Amino acid sequence: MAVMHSWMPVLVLFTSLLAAPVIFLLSEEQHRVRTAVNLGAAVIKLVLVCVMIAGIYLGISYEMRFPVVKGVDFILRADALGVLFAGLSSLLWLLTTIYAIGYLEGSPNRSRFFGFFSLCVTSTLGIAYAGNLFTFILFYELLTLSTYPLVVHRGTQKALAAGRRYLQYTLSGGVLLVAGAVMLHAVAGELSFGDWRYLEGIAAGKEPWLTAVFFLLIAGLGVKAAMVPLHGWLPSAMVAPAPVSALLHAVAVVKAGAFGIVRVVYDVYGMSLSFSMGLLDVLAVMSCITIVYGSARALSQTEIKRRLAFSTVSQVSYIMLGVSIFHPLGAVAGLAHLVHQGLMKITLFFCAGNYAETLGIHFVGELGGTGRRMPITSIAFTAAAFGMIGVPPAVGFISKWYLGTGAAGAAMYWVIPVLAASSVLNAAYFLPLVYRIWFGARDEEWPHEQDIGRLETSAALLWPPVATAVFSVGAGLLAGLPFSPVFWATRIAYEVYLP
Amino acid sequence: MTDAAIAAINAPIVFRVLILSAVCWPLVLAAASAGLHFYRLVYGAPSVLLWNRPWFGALWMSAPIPALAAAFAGGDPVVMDWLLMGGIWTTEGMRGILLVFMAVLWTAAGVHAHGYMAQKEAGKGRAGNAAPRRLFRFAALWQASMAGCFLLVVAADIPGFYLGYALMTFSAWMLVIHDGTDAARRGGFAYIVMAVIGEGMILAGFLWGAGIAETILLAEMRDGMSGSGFVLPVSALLWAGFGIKAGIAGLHVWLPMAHPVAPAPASAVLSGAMIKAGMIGWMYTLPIGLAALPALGGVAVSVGLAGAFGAAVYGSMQRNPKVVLAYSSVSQMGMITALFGIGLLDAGLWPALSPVLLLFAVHHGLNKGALFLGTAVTDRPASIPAGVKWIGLLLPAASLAGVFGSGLTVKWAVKSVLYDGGYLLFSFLLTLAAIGTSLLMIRALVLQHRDQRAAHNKITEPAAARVVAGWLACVIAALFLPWWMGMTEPIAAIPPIKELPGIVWPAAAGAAIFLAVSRGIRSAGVLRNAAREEVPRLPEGDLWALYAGVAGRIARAAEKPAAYFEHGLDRINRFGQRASAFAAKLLPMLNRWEPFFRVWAGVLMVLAAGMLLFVLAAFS
Repeated sequence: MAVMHSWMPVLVLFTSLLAAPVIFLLSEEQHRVRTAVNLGAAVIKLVLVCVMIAGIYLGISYEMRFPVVKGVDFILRADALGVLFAGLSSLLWLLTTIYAIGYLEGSPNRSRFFGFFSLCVTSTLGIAYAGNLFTFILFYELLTLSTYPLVVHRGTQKALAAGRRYLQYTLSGGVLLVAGAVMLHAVAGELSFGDWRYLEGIAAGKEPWLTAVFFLLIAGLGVKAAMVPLHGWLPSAMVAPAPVSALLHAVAVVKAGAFGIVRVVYDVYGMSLSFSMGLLDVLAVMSCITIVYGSARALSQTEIKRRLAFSTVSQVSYIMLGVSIFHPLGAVAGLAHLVHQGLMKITLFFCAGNYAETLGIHFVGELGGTGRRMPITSIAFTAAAFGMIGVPPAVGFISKWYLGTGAAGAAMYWVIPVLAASSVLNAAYFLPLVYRIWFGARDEEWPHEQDIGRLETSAALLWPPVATAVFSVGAGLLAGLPFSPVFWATRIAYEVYLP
Repeated sequence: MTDAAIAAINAPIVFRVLILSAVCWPLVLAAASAGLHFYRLVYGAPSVLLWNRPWFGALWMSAPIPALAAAFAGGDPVVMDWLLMGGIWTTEGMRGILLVFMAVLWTAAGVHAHGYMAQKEAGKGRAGNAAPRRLFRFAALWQASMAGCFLLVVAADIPGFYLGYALMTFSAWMLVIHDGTDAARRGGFAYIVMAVIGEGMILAGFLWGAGIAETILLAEMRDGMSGSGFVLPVSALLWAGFGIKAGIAGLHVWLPMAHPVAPAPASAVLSGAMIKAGMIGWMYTLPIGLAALPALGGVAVSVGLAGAFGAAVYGSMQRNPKVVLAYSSVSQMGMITALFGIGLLDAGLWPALSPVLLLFAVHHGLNKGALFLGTAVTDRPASIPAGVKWIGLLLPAASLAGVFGSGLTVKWAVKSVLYDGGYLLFSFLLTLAAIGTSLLMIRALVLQHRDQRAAHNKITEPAAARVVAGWLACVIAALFLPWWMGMTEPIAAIPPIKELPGIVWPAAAGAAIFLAVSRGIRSAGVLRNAAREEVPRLPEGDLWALYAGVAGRIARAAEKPAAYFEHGLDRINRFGQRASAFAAKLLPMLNRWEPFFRVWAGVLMVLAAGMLLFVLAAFS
């Protein structure tokens, strides 16, 4: 049984890693086989991750470790925080796969797309299960490389430019991250995640070095997490197909950055050391700037996906803000928002993709009348948008609640106006969309209407956003139930990271 | 709340079911109506006929019944751990009274709305398709905002309360813009802008207050924050945030723009029930009676009085009866705000003041509801004798003016509490404000009378029986309010005869002023009369234009710093690009040096070794 436990994380990675070459080798026409492999891998992965979540709940530890060179280990380990991210990613991966199958129906290069898609998820799960910075960086860079072909999938001039920009940003970020990790190794020796008590013990006298390392790591991770001023790649990367945007914004890339920051603060430095060295205050200010900046920029975007992209810039920083609040409730907020933001944002991107794919709508001004033409998609969009604004019962409110009360508990009162302002700004850029969808007039034809599916659009495009919308509302309405994101986040915050 | 305390609470199952269905039954109906709305979109099947079927009417009118039953049944708080962060619903104390009030008003308005909407949508001459679609959309939003109203009354936990408040606010937005006219869109815009600002302030207040009190319960937040050093900013946020809904002067601008443009029954619940949600928010959250907040109290008293007088003057110059009624709401809420201010100033007076305020609020809610419902009765030829009609219209107006029914009770109660507290000047000012109320009431009735003839020329179909029934029910409920509600205990229901002149004179004064002014205007000349259409209209929403201008100016002023910031980011970005371009140039340069290194490698190495030795020797 113990052997089984140590192989579990590897097994989870292998489901999609093995799927990738199989898909690459399939010809374009083998539609059914590819779909079967894709969905089979996604379902198996989800089941395995669920088993591991239950296992962690019962106190089983899953770890696979071997030395790469002396003093540097390769560690795959599932801990409570890791499975939180893995659970989110594998659930959303399944839905995104279904969506992508529907979205790319009949378009070229699908084998290439789904091959890299699988690699991308492998790396995400690797990030989730990485047990030290070395392993983390390995998968982090792999993620960069495997998402590039997805961003440039369409091969247009604009897509290639966005891809270049993406690589410039993320590879530079990677360099900083590696530099930080090497420096940390030089200062403190081999550390695996969770050794923060050890680092706390030897920190005396090394504060300047540790501070420098901290900011190197944060800067490296902040690129993917799209913290201002490192966010430039994200809005331009929205030229990618909708499922890729969903992947970038909710499942993998941006999340990997935010997750890395959570790891650095909680697992490398530890809550109390980061706090006593004054690092959290800086992080809090940086995230607040990002929150307000992203929302303010979103206001003036006329393209739907671009508006959503700036909204991501803002919303992901809630995670960092939660992490930087030195209070257990702040930690709960940060960890729970990791999941919450993913659920809501993926819904919005799915819906935006549906409008674009079914009706050819890309701009805010064209949304009039969509509520009548595509009511189910529009309901899902509305639910997620209200969630983003922070209106209960959707999960966005739960995040804001814990952020705000945590900030008040930690005597960081200035955070509260930031949250309120962000809510008002969120409303200011989401409600016009909602208004147009339901009350906007439509007199002319749709820009590019396709008659797909029996309902308002094809089933593969329709049900994933419905599912994620139900999750985003349900996880908020029933936040008190066991295994809700908040329940799990509370468990992690209080049992693992509290000093 | 401790686990033991929660375990001790075990509400009987019947009450559990009742209170749950008080909120959930309207929501179920809302979902069903939304389903019909969308079914209509796709398949086009249900028609106006379905709406008028008796069973649909019965279902529609049953929405507030569980709430009514729950309020009268009463029971221990119901705890739901699974809901949000832990829900606790109760009808104890003032919550029971408020729930009865809300349920009665929604029932009456619901009966009214069922007939009103059917006539309105069917008679619009729209393509046969649009009417049922719009009807069922109205139904869904109507029931959703009703559920929100009930939830915010019964929820004792902050998230539940905020959920109800938000559900009500956002559903009602769509009720305001239902008609889709330009005025409706403008009103809806003003409504949502102010509502969102209010939600932001309320959220900030809740997060702050609940954070320092470390609780999710409204009552514990009040206790916890009253002892902390931040009681003033938190209270100010909550006061202003809820104040937007309550229509306090300065933040009221959306109200006269939004309330009149909604369909009549929606105006009735907006002005009767939803406006009270702001006041309920104050009652549940502000630490009145626990801590004295003189600064906030002073502001509340002045703002309240300013609203009471200002709205009366401005409102009586309006030409649309519904706008006049909306301004009357601002004026009445001004009085309530000022009374709240007294409570904030003088914590000792609060125990006596709070039941009076509750009665005032319920009294205003039902009477104003009746008045708004009444506007639909004069729009069409009535199916009842004119005498009954005008008595029915007059009664709630007289009651609000303080000369009849519940109005007498409220006036008397307010007066005696203020007298006991020694606030004689304030009491006198409120009396003066009552002159304004009667002015507004007379103005509204006169306008209704003036408009009805023109309206009847256009529409010949008499008002549906449901419209009249709902309206009359509301009138009667309002009239006998102090008795059927069992609120007679703390206050004598009928003032002593010798006090009557002191209570009634402002109404008489208002009537005299109205007569004098209108006589004066009429005798000012035939000329003015001929040019009446050219007398400039005072825009409803008075300060809205000013605010919009200021907001636009601020936005333009912010453009410059924003551009600078953006420019700075661009430079960072360009620097990064230049750096990577430089790195790319470095590579060919290295290529050029490559042959040189190959040839001179040995020499270079010897040189380097020599230098190293030299350095070592020099420093050892």
